[in-house]
Formats: sequence, C-alpha cells, structure tokens
Amino acid sequence: MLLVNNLSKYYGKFCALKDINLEFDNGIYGLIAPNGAGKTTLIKMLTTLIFPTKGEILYNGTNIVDMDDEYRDILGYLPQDFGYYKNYTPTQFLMYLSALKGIDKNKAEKKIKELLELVAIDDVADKKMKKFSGGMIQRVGIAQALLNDPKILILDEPTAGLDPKERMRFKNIISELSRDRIIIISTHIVSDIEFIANEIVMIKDHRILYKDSTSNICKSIEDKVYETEIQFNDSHDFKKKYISLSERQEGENMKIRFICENKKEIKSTWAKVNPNLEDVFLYEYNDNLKEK
Amino acid sequence: MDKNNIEVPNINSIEIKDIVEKGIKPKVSFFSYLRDMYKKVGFKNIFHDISEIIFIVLITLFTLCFAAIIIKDNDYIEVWQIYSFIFVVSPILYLLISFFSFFNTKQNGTYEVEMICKYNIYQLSALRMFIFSIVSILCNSILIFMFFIVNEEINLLRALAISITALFLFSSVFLYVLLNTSHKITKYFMIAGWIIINLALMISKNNYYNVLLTQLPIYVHLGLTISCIYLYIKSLKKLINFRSVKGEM
Ligand SMILES: Nc1ncnc2c1ncn2[C@@H]1O[C@H](COP(=O)(O)OP(=O)(O)OP(=O)(O)O)[C@@H](O)[C@H]1O
Ligand SMILES: [Mg+2]
Repeated sequence: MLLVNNLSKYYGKFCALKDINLEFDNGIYGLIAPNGAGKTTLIKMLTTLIFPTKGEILYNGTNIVDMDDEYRDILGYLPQDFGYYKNYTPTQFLMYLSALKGIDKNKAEKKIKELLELVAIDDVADKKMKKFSGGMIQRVGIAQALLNDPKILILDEPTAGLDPKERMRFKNIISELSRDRIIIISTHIVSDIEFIANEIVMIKDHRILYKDSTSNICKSIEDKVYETEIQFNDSHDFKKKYISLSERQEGENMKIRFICENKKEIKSTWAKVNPNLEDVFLYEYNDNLKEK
Repeated sequence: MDKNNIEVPNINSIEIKDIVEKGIKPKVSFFSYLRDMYKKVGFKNIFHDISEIIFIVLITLFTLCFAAIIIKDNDYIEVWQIYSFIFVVSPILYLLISFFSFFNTKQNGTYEVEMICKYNIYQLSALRMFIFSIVSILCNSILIFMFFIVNEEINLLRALAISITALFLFSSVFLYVLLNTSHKITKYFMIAGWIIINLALMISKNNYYNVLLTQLPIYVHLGLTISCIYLYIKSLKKLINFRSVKGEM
C-alpha cells in the first residue's frame, strides 16, 4: 500500500501542491486535473525524482526515499516527455534499461519480446527509433515501464499521441495488469480512464478535490446536467447563462448539454441526463467556460 | 542437561529474513558493490557512450603529449617544474571524461527513465568514475614514463606519487563540489581555479611549492597519496547514496 502523508511541494515560494493525503491499494487510479494543476509534480514525488517540501510517502510503512533502490526495483514509470536514444532500436533500448534495472539478460530478452508484442511494435523491434512516429515512441515508453513487472506502475499521460485503436489496446493492457499492482495514470483524456479506473483523483487549487469512484464523483452534479435543442441565434445568450458542456449540430438547431444549478429555472423541454466524468471536469474547472 | 530441552527462541521466518536483510545490506563493501553492479549491468551498458569517451581520451592525450614535448625541448625548465606540470595535468583527463559524462547524461531526455532504474545515474557514475580514475592513472603513468626516458633526473616513484595524489585530491574535491553545491558557476570556478593557482605557483617559482614537490621525503608523498585515495573512495560512496535535491545536479 502506498500512502501519501500531508504532502506539500513548493518550487521556491510557488506552491504547487498543499496538504495532499492519499492512499493507493492495488487497482487503477486516474489522476485528472487541468494543465499546471500539479499532476506531474505529484508523480515525480511518487517516483522519487523530486522530494516533498513537507510530508512523506510511505510504501508498506517505509518512506520510499529511504527504501532507495528497493523502491526503484518495484517501480515502473513513463514520464510525460519520454526520452530515448535515437540510434537505438526498441530492443536495444529496452535491453539497456533492463540492465540498469538489474534484470538478468536471458530473462530480459524474453520479457522484451513479450512486451513489444503486447504494445504491437514487434514488427519494428529492430528498426532505429529515430524513424518512429510519436505514437510508436509512446508505445516503447509503455513497454519500458513494464520491464521489471512493477508492483507500482505510474504513467504520466500515457495515451498522448495514441490513435483510438491503440488507446483501446492500452486500456485492455492496463485492466489486465491492475489485479495485483498499483497503477496510477494521469491524463486529460477523461474517457481513457473513466471506465477502467477504480478511483479518480482530482486536484484543484493545489489540493485534492475528489478521490472516489467515477459514479460517486458523478453524483456530485446529479440533477444538474441537461440537454436541449436551441437555435443558433440564441446560443450566445444561452451560454451566458449556463455552463455549456458540449454542443453539436442537429439539423437547423444546436443540441447543447449544459449545467443548470438553479432548480427554479428548469424548463419542461429540457431533458435531464446522467452526468459523466467529463461533465464533472468541465463543471469543476469552468472558470472560463461561461461566455461573457 | 537434556539436549531436547534446549529452548529455541521463537522467531518466525519472516522476522529472520528481515533481520538477515537488515544486517547484511549495509555490510556489502564498496568494492563488492561495484563489482556486483559491474557484473549485472555489463561493460557495454555502463559505457554505452564509449566512442565519445575514447574520442576525449585521445584528444587529451594528444594535447598533453604535445605540451610535454614543448617542455622537454625547453632547456631552462627545472626538474621541479616538471613535477609541477605533472601535478597540474594529472587530473585533467579524469576531469574531462567525468564532466562530459555528467553533462551528457543530464542533456539526454532519458534522464528520468534512467533515474528510476535500480542502478541509477549516481550509482553508475560512481562506477564509471572509479574506472575513469584507473584509466587516468594508466595514461598519466605512461606520460610520466616518457618524461623519465628523456630526463633521468626525475624520480619515477616521486613523479607517480605526485600524479596519483593530484588525481585523487582533485577528484575528491570535484565530487565534493558536485554533491554539495547546486551553482554551476562554483563548479567551473573550482576547475579553473585548480589550473590557474597551480600554474601561478609554477610560474612565480614559489619556494614552498618547489620544496613541497621535490624536497619532501618520499614516504610523506606516499602517505599523502594514500590519504587522498581514501578520501576519494569515501566521496564515491557518498555519490552512490546521493539523492539530489530537485533532481538537479
Ligand atoms: N521545476 C519547476 N520549477 C518551478 N515551477 C514548476 C516546476 N515544475 C513545475 N512547476 C510549476 O508547478 C505547477 C504544476 O506543474 P505540473 O507540471 O505538475 O502540472 P501538470 O498538472 O503536470 O500539467 P500538465 O497537464 O500540463 O502536464 C505549474 O504551475 C508549473 O509551472
Ligand atoms: Mg504534467
């Protein structure tokens, strides 16, 4: 079990995270928050790349910083900007990292073959990576994080740059893995983790806003999300009044999904809909969504 | 007493494992730790940038040989100035390789993935620097031997002692600065300082400096050498356990 205890992180005087308390057991945790909210900062502390200004992180009761190489031994990590050696092939690069992870050479060879098949880049396993597309590199990154069969797997925006088919494959891989390990995934693409995450962690104003299951979080805006059709001409005024969540064209009209917080304003032509995680995200971080 | 009656303390196997692990882990000596790492990671991976390193070694050796030839051809050079030359240049090869090595690792986008591996950059660096220092000693010795062939006034043992002392003294200080200051300027300053101060002493023909290099009994020199090696190993150990603040070095 991974326990985050009263964690705060300051960059100089700038406060990135404040009084964070979290608990992770085996399962998938989705970390969602807008740009600059501190996801990467939290992840870097969980991977001991940077250290908390205050507080501590414990794995089974031991501070992860004190565990040192024992902790790194059970950790898999995909950084937000995954770097690689351009002149290496995926196989060479993964062999190199396996060696640094202290994995026996024969075991590593077998594991690498497996992993490259898993992320479907086995056909280019021996091509130099400088010829790879962004999505292919990202998949090498995912494979790399799984080399040591980590007990704690931390992925910082793993689906960035993946096409829908590969995102689907990724979801399946992760669900498969989640049974006996802690998986923490940060992402902006809410739909990528909405249905596979056991719990969602949301950060707002440097603090934890939610740490709960998707359905419980969605309950927070139950009875507030509606859909209706309006004319394009009216849309400007409408969006001044309500937070728009999504819009699409429907013949001559526009179908709009929005938040209405005042029960008295509800009209009979509106259809109440079940909120999803993306609605919550837009609702919570809506500062600039209402048209002025 | 009945043999069967001896009480066995009741410790379960997990506790024993705990005790054994806790007891053994810190006791692994520095050298067996390095040897272990070397075996596990392998030469090819430790020196994945070997071609760049060889390039630096060759360039440096070439430059130093060139400088040595100029000094040799100069009739006004005194023996102690040769010692002084050795003292100044001995750490240079080591310095260049180590500096390149750190700079290179930090420039690479791979820093983060390498940093969370079991053997991370600091531990690998300790091993690499240890090997660099041996390579440096070998190169320096060859250079000194060449001096000796052309100028038999030189005491070979003293020259070697001076060279090794300089190398380890400098690298200990280098590591200390690397681990204890985050200001880049301090690092450059100390490197430039080493060369400038020594050159100034050599050119000004400072008497103490002269005596220190040539008149000191040889066993004092050897004693100094051993202390510096000790200091160096200690700083390498620190590097292994080093956890950088902010992920910066
Ligand atoms: N090394 C640093 N020095 C100073 N400030 C930093 C540093 N790293 C991050 N920050 C600041 O901390 C805040 C959180 O950054 P962080 O990278 O954790 O955000 P994030 O949630 O990962 O964003 P994104 O979704 O864009 O990846 C930002 O305001 C950023 O400017
Ligand atoms: Mg980020």
